[in-house]
Amino acid sequence: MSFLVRRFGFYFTAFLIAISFNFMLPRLMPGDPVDALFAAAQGRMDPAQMDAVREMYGFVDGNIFEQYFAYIKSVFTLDLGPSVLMFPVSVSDVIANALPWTMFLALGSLIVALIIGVSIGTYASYRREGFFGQVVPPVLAFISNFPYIVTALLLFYFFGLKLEVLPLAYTYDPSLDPGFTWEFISSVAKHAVLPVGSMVIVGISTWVFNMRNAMINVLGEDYVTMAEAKGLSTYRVMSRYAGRNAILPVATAIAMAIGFSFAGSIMTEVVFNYQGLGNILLKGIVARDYPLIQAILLILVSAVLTANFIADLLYVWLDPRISN
Amino acid sequence: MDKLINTTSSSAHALTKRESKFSWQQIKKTLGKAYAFFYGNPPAIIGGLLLSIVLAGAIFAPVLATHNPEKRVARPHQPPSAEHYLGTTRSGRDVYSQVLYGARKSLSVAISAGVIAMSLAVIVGVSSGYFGGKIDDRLNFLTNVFLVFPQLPLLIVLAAFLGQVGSLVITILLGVTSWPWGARVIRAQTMAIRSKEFIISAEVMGESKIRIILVEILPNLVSIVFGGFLGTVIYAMGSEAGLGILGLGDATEVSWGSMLYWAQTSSSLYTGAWWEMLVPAMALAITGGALALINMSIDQVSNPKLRTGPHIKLWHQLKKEADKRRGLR
Amino acid sequence: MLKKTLIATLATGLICSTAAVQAEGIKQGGTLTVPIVNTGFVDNYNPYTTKDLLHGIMFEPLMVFNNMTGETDFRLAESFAFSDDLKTLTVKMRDNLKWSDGTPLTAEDVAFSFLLTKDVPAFDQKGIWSGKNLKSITTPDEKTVVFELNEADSTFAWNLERYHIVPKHIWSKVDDLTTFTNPNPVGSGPMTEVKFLKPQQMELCRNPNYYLEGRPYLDCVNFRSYNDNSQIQPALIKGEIDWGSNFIADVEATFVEKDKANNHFWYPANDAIHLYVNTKKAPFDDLRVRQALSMALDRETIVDIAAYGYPTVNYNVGGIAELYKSHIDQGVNKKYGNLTQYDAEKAKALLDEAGLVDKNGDGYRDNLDGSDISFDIEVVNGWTDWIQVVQMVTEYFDEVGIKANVKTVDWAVYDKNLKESNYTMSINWSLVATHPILAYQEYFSTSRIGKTWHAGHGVNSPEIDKLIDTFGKIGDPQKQEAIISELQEYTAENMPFIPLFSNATWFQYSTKKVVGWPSEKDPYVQPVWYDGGKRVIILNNLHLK
Repeated sequence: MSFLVRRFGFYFTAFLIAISFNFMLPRLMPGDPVDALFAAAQGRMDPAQMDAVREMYGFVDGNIFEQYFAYIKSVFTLDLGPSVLMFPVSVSDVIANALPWTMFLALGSLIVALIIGVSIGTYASYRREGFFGQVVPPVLAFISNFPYIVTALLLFYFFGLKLEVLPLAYTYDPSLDPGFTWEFISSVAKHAVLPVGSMVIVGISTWVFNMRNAMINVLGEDYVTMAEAKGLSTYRVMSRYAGRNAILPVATAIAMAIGFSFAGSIMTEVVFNYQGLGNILLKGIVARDYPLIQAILLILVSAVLTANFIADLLYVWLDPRISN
Repeated sequence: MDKLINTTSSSAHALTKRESKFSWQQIKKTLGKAYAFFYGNPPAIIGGLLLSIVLAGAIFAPVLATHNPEKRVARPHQPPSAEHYLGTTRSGRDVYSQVLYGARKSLSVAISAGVIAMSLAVIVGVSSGYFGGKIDDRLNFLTNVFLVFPQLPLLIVLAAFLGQVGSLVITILLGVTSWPWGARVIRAQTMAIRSKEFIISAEVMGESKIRIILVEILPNLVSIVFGGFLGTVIYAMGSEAGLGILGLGDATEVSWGSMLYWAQTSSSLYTGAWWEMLVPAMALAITGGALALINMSIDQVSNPKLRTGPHIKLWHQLKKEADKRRGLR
Repeated sequence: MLKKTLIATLATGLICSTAAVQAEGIKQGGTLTVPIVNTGFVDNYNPYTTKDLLHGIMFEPLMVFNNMTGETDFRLAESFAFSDDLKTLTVKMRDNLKWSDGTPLTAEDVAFSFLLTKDVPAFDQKGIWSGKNLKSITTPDEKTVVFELNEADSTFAWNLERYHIVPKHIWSKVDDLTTFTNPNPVGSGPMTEVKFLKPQQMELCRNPNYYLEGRPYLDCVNFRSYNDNSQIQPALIKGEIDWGSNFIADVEATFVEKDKANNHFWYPANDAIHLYVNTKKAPFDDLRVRQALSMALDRETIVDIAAYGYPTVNYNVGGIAELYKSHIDQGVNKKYGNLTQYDAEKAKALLDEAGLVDKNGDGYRDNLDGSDISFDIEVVNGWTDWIQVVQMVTEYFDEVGIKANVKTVDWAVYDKNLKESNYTMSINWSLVATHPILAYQEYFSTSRIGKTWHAGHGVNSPEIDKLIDTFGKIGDPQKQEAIISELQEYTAENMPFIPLFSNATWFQYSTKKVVGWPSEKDPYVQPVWYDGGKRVIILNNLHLK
């Protein structure tokens, strides 16, 4: 129990550090949102207007400490202010619209990669000497390690442009209304194939190898031989004895991957114009929308911290040695 | 009795005679190790081959390139031809020469970032694992804090904020954000080795801590460190490409990332000039894949249980003979 | 008598029937689809906080100054006139104007709309209040608005086009105008009714009480949101949008080829792009050096290759280009014309004459004091066609022995350097306005130094300052043209910047469903999408095929 308390304390401290860093970052950057608006307007904005617009968005200079505490307070009360990019919609609303799609993408690709990867990894460990075990893992390693952007571009080019079988952009057909209609759901599914597909291709080798190596290590252990000698069925050996132990490192890896896949979906969202957090983050950066950038970074950090904490919980639950 | 003493002294003398590092014996030994590594290991062979081609291209770029990669030498968007093996870009630059010189930039960024990251990881991981106690607590905390920072968004935000980031800044950024993974793994491994008997005996003998670390512990970490290094290189290459295509790198330098950027902004895929985009993409793909194959093979060397191929065949052979002897076949 | 009346009736009948036939020929209805580069649509119909999306669509301007035809297109306003002392501007409104909800649109709404920008300075688009020249606005009757100025200013009327005329009966009840989202919007433009608003799409439909009979011909305008240009290109190619206003790579091959009969583009000249030179820094303080660098550039090739041939090459030496065609003084162009003609030999000769020779044998010319000449040309990170232009410029400079480098910088840095004269050379645009005098004000008025990008080059004179100031006091157009000529001569003589080309007005259109577009054959207005005034003119002319 004290282990968990200590871990929680650590995560909380890390969170505070992250928030402070988050606060400093935009202020270290040259230019502010009004300058960015000015750039976009290419001189059609009167310079005298700029100060007035600044005030409107709330970028008044105050004592840096006052600003800092106001910021900390806003984080914990979730009152994150209006977004410059989509004024006067509040940052929380902008994020609330985009977050579900990022989660859909991140978790969806993770689950698909997991299922496929773990199955292939297990089978490859079982059929080590056969064709499957020898050829499939290296081939997957090769393809999986193309830089993500390359995989995304290749998919985009071949399936989107050349063959035109799958849509190139958006989360769903823009003319449809969100709702639980078959039309909407199938549109979402169709638009998710390429983005999720690209993320799966890149992520799959980790699971294949994790599972395969873990299984092979475990299969060589004495207690497995003992179980086989006892005459237990292959299935029982694999799941109850080998699997249970092999799953430990994999489980913690999953929890961490959840956290990181949120961050990793940025590239996907940009290439496929998916309306998720990463996409909005990039636009926010270009427009110097500080409130938005800070809020999104905050969410990403929280996701990773939470996932790590869950990984620790899992570790305790699955490995009795630690809790004792 | 005299003979015994003589033999002892001569054999002792023979034992203490150190072999020069570059003697024929040593070279044969190293080659033998390399051969053993590649033998019956198709992924290693293929990976090694591809990587050698890429490295050769990068190292010999000035010799192999046909044009100056930074000058306009032809009409824009010419398809591959005898004069321009891989076509020309929108600005009329030779893609083949660019991809060779770009290899230098991209590979040096990735490798340097890998070196920086792994050096940090080794220092932090070994210190944390070996010394334990307060040092471990503090370093562990530091590692975890860096670990939880979402790297890619951070990189994008930093790169955007710093404006025109040259490759040096990107290298440092990548190196400084990628070390935590390695550090964690190294720490765990160091802790496992530390409790082994030969370390305890070395400590009892009074060996200095530094010597223990350098001579006893580090050699056992080599495969992990090298594996981590390759992984970081792959990741750094991918990040450089990703940042490059978003326009956050230095667009005026020739690198694979900036080639993708120019290809993207000139809509080369839409205008049918696929070579401008796909050549750097394939270069990145091949390099990443090759490194991954080698990484995978290293795993197999360090953990013989993971070996496949001829070793399994050998095992089957031996098993057959053993079964025959036992009368089971 | 009867005969005459008969003929008259017949003639009228004939004319009426032809008119009726013509009116019948133009179909009513249809939807226009246009792209917007933004992060999506939100429930906000406040024209001031929606980045100018609604001007000319939901809200009608008072008048539009059509720079292509040189005429003033009166919209809500019927006419305007200055008093003789140029201190009073009287604007007369049309009869029977109505808001989309049926309420009459009167001078009170107009006065209210201008007065509110005084209370909310963030809405003061053209700075009529911050310029401190506007004294008061009065409405002597329902149709008249009178603007009283402190000082004579014949340019004041040009500011009026950009302000939104909003309904007093709704807006006067709002507490905080900056966060006002104007739900259930009431406007006076051609499309005021919100059909639907989705995150990536918005559709606005026709105003039931639009002041022009039978207009707009179209029923609705459908806006689609896109991330950036690279997303718009495939949409245009696939025919999902009718009107494109962004840069499209290789437009002939990717767009026009797909449907030669219907896919068109027209890129008339927009703002002039120059290489601004810091004339206070050596060796650019020597006029001959600036002239030489100008002659070293092959503008045709630069436009062709770096900018894909879309912009218009700018050979004009007077500081203004094809956008202000009617004001260009051809005499000045003739006198100084050689300054923009590509002549590398002459350039080299001039540089030799200026004393810039290669003293240390490194292949590049050096300063008079022996130090190397090596400077940066600044361009914003991400503006790829300009980066390519600057790259080519450095290649040409290289050929005459001058070493220059491309420096891509963050927007904020670029912006600051231009305003504070911190640059050596920087590629930048010039002002697009109703009249070139405003562009010259930005170039030379000492009051603009530090506030605007175009004033930091260091070429000024008190006479020119006076000249620009007097413009506002003059009402006679001929005298105004004389001033513009003098300014052109001054610019050509002193070369504060090196002219390159005029930006293209990005305009692609499809005649598959909708016709009535401006084109090279029918240039009735400059096809600028993001300018509400020009937008409303085009929108009112479009109709189904």
